[in-house]
Formats: sequence, C-alpha cells, structure tokens
Amino acid sequence: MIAASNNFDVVVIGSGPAGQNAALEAAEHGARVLIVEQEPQVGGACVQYGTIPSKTLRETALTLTAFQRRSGDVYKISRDAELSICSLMKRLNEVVQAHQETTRRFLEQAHIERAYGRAAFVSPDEIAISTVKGEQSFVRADKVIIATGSRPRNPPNVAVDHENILDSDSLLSMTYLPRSIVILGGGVIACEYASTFASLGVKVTMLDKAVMPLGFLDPELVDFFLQQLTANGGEFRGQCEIESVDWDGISSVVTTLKSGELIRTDKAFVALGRVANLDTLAIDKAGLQVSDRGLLVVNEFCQTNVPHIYAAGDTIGPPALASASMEQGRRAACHALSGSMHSGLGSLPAGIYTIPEIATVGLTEQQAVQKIGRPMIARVRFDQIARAHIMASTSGLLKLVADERGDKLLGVQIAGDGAIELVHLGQMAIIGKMSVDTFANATFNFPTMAEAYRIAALEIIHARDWKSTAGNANFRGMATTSPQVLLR
Amino acid sequence: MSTTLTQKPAVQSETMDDALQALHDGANCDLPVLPEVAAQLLKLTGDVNCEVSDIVPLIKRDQSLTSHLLRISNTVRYNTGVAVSSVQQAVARLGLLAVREIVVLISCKCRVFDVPEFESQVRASFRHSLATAAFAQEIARVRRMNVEEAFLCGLLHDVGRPILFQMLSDRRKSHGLVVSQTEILTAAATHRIPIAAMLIGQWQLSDRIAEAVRFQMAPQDAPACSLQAAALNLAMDLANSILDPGAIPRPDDEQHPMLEVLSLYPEQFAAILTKREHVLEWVDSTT
Repeated sequence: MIAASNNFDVVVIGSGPAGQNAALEAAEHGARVLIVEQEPQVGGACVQYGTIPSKTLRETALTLTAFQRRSGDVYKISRDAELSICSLMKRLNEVVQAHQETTRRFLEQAHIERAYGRAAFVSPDEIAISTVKGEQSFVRADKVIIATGSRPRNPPNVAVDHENILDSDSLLSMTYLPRSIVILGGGVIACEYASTFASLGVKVTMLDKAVMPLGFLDPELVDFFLQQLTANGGEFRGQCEIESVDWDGISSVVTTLKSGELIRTDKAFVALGRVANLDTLAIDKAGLQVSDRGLLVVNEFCQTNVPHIYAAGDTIGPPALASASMEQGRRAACHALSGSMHSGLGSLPAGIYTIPEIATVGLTEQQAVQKIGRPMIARVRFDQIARAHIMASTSGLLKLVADERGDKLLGVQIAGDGAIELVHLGQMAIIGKMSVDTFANATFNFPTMAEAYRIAALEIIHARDWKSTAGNANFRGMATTSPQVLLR
Repeated sequence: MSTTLTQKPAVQSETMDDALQALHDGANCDLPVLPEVAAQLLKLTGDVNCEVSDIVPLIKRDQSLTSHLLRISNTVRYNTGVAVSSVQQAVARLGLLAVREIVVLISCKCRVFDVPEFESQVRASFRHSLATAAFAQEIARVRRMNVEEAFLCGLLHDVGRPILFQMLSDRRKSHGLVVSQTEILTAAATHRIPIAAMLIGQWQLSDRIAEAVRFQMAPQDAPACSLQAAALNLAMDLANSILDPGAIPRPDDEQHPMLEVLSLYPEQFAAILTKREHVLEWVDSTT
C-alpha cells in the first residue's frame, strides 16, 4: 500500500536537460511532480561528464588560441603540450556549481519534489526508488516521463579502462594533456574533442569507418572542419577498420588497424556512439517497447506504447542534443497533461562545438535539392565581413538556403567563430516565416557578424533578379558574392 | 698568563618535537626502498640487455621508487614545464632513456630500509598501500575519476609512517633522541598523515593528491577533492578487509559511509568487491 503522500501526478526519472524541462513544464500545468535522480546533484551526465565540462574546456582552449590572434601577436600564448587539463579546467567547478544551483533553484521555485536514488518500475504506474544503501521506497504516478539519458557505447574489441583508453565519461578525468591521442569515431563528440585537443597542441588522429566525419552535415561544412583540424596538426582517416586497441603496459596505447598498421599514442578516446540508460529501470515491468537499437519507441509527442509513460532525450535516440532533449521534455509534459499536439522540432538548430564552431538550422542544400529540386543558395565567406577581420576570425562560411524563387528561407548553415549564436537569427527568421528580403531590408548594427545574413540575402536577391531577367534557372553551386553585390 | 678554558656544552638529547620539526624542515625526506626491491633494481639496471619495460612495472608497484621517479622527474634537469604526476606520464614525457637514467640514479643513491625493529610494520604499511592503490583505481574507474591519480593517492597515502620509523630510528642513534619503540609507533600513527601530505607537496606531485592524502580520514572536510579523499578512505578500508579480515569497519556490508558520498550503488560496489582476490594476489606477488 503506497501512502497518499507518495502519489504524484507526474514522476520524472532523470534530471538532465530533458528531465528538468519536463518537470518544470509539468509543474507549470499545476501538477504535483517528483523528479528522481540517481546522483546527489541535479543535472545528469550533461553536467557531470558531458556538455558543461567539455564546453568549459573548449572555451578555455578557444580563448587561449583566439587571444594571440586577436591581440595581433602582441601577446604570445605558448601552445605548450605540457599544459595540464586541470589548470585549463580551473573554472569548471564554478561553472558546474553555478549551473546546478540555478537548476536546483528553478526546481524548488516550481515546488518540484526531489528523490535521490534509482528508479525502477514495479508496475506501469508504480515505481521503486532505491538509495545507494539499498533502502527502497515506492511511489505511484499518473504520468511517468523517462529521461535517464545515455552512456558511451564501447565496442567489445576495445577494453576501455578509463585510464589510458577513455570514453566521453572519463576523458575529462585526465589531469594532464597527452602529447598524442587517437580518437575512434567521427561523430559530434569525436569531432568536438578532436578540434579542442588539436587546438591545444595535442597530436590528434581521428579514425572512423565512414569516409568523412559528421555525415549528417552539409559537405561544405565538413570540409571546413577538416581544413581547420589539419591546420592545427590533426588528421582524419576515414574507412578505417579497427582490429584492437591496447595499453602497452608502459606508456603508450597501441591501436591496430585491420590493415595491420599500428598507431602508437599516449591515450585513446573511444567515441563510437551512445546507448540509452534503461538497464536499471525494469522497463519490462511497465511493458515498454524497445527498438532494436535499444531505444524507447515513442510517437511524435514522446509517448511510448504505454499511453501514460513518456520518454525524452537520449533514451529515444537522435538527435541527442541538449537543446532537442529540452524541447522533447517540454513536449512530453505538455501532451501528458493537456493533450497538446504542439510540435516544434521543425526549427530546431544543431550546434557543434568544434573550433571553430559549426551550426545549422532548417534544410541543408542537399536536403533542399531532394525536397524541392532547385533551391537558391548563397554563400558568404567570413573574410567578406568587416567584423570578422576585426575579430581576426576570417575563416568561416555562412550559407543560406532559399526556395526556388529565392523568397522563402529554408535553412542556414554556418561554420566559423560565433556560428552557434549567429544561427539563431536564421532560426527566428524560419520560425517567423520571414522572406529572404527581410535580411536585405533590415538594418543591423555595424560592424557585426550578422552582416553575413544581409550579404547572403543580397546575393540571392541579385541572382533572383538576374534569373528573372535572363531566364537562367540554374543557380545551384553559384560562386561567392560578387563585388557588385557587396557594393549595393 | 692565564688560560681560559671553554667548556664543551653537554650533549643534549633531542626531543620528539625537535625530531618531528627536523622532518618538517626537510631532513631525511627520501623514502628508503625495501632491501629486495633494491636488489631487484640493481640486478635489472646492471644488465645491459635490460629493457626499461622490465623496470617500469617494478617502479609502479613500489611507492618508494614511484616517489623517487616522480620527484626526480620534476627537478630542473628533467622538468618539462608541468608537474609530472604519474609513472606513465613520466615515461611518456621523458622518454625511456631518461627514465632508465633516473632509475640507475635511484639504484645508486637510494637508501635501503634499515629499521629491523619495525620491519614487520614497514612491510605491513607497504602491503596496505599497494592494496589501497589497487582498490582506489578500481573505485576511480567506476566513478570516472582519474585512475592514475587515485592509484598514486593509495600508493602514497601512508608514506609518512615508514619515513617516521626510519627517521626516528636514525635520530635515536645520531641525535640522542630518547624514545621507546612504543613512542615511535605512536608518533608514526599520529603524524603519518601530515608528514605524507607534506612530502607529497615537496615532491611536487599534484595538490589534489596531497589534499586527498591529508583528508584521508575525514574526506568530507576536504575543500576541493572530497571525492578523491572519499575514494581513498574506502580503498583503505577495503585494503584492511583483505589484509586483515578481522578489521573493523568492514566495508563489504554496504554501510560504509563513503558509499553515499561516492554515490556507489550496490551493483557498482559489488563489482569493486569482486576484485578482492585479484588485488590480494597482486599484493602477495609484489611484496
């Protein structure tokens, strides 16, 4: 018999980005909400091992590399491979504590109750919460939202020891920068760490089965990433099959390729995807359906096959971005409590925190070609923007994707410093269904990076006008902005 | 003509406080090696065909050799700009030849333990340190903490004790320190932690290792490294449980206070406990 005080409208399992937002949204609807977290602090892996620590390290690396560039070499920053990660990460505790404190305060203000322990289904609407010491309590929930996140997927032929062969949960436990590192994988996490370590002077070798990394991106942005990685001394090797990865017992990790080649590095980092954290949830007791990839199966409202149980974030798979998880958490709570059919994923941006960074929203050129046939594309290199010169950040590219008539904005892809913030302007334009002309007619502050939008819009308008005059319909793969356009 | 005779002052016996102060001031801070380890080292370094790959495992499982290697690696001659904080980092940074050079230096200069009256305690301390190091690295693996650092915390957490045995025994002979064997045992038990933390600082190992060692008995008070200190505390008790099965507290009843601090759930802790036999085997093969 469960006490009345242990009956909740909503129980959210996990307090990462998806769980927090689900809980806050549910509380906003007036529900009595319990959030269960297995760690003493809220935030999930995002705060402990993921987004927050990796971005803090990246920011420090970015500042170090940008400082010398932007000071016009007045100040020399030694890109010394001996820099210890600990000294680079000194701000991390402050950042993590500030983030946890803010989250804790939000949850408290919303009167969300918290339980420290592990949740497991006893039945579809009853959940056992076990503490570290093995003590159990039971709660009943009208609605359950699963947001337990994911952990690194480690292949059987690679023995991750978290000491010399690391995964993304243990990578930042390193206390010194290795001289060299081999990175297995070509996804977002692999590329982000590859560029951060390369910019700090670590010799980075990326190995992946695929021909190119970041396969979901516009190839132009991938080329840009590879150019920057190579410029920093890194290397990407595609179509590589790994035989084994072993610690030699002395000072090196030996990666053996199926071709027989040996690669010897100080450390190895395995970034070959992630698996959903469902092991301890006893989902069979709830009757939940799992895909062959080990993910919870949900509909567009994040609802599982058991109607009162929802799932959000990494437990349901790609895109597995913190921003997407937040949106899914909100959507799940909205649908659970009000039946809201709202779906906002169409305009979800993706930010990849490489150095320099990459961001995308809406359709890529390739997707637009598939969808509408002949989109209009404009490209602006950052070296055409005054602000980029001032910031010594002239390596970069902004690409606008518009419909065939050059009127409706379909997508924005950006690579370069500030891309992740800059993409939101495009996102708002897509959400607001603004025309390309809006960017040309609007007045932006000068000098700013936002000028790239205006230049790109002018290029599309210029091409559109020429197209209507000359009747030439083929504008795909058009060269970068002409000086005539820049003078307009 | 008169002659003024200067009277030679009477030799004054050193007090325990004087001796401890001398240790704080940097006297005799090197940790001697066990006789059999010294013999092994001499044999290895004297062999022209010896590979450094044969030497490194010996260094890693001996706190004296580890502390010497790291201390010398951090001297001006070898300093690479950052504190070298693990044996593998030293080998990777300095290269195999430099490590071999350092090891030869250690084998020539290093003292061998000469405290027959405390031999069993010294050996017990070494065995306990090894077991603690092994458990600390397993805990670190589970909690995704730095494994190399955890190992060193365990290996060096008790270095103050054998150093105090050797140093106080020496000063009984050289400085007239009048203390009984029991008083030395008591002093070693009382001062081992601050002495260990001080030495780790002197050897230029990381502040985190020094802090974890300093707060090994009260992890919750550690200002910046409470998790590392908690892992060390739990590892110490796990080491006790395999080396002295009657030891209290026994951490295998899932009630150890550090389990909650470290957020170690029963199956995670059970996974660590499965390493007990392996650790004991390793310690037995080493000491």
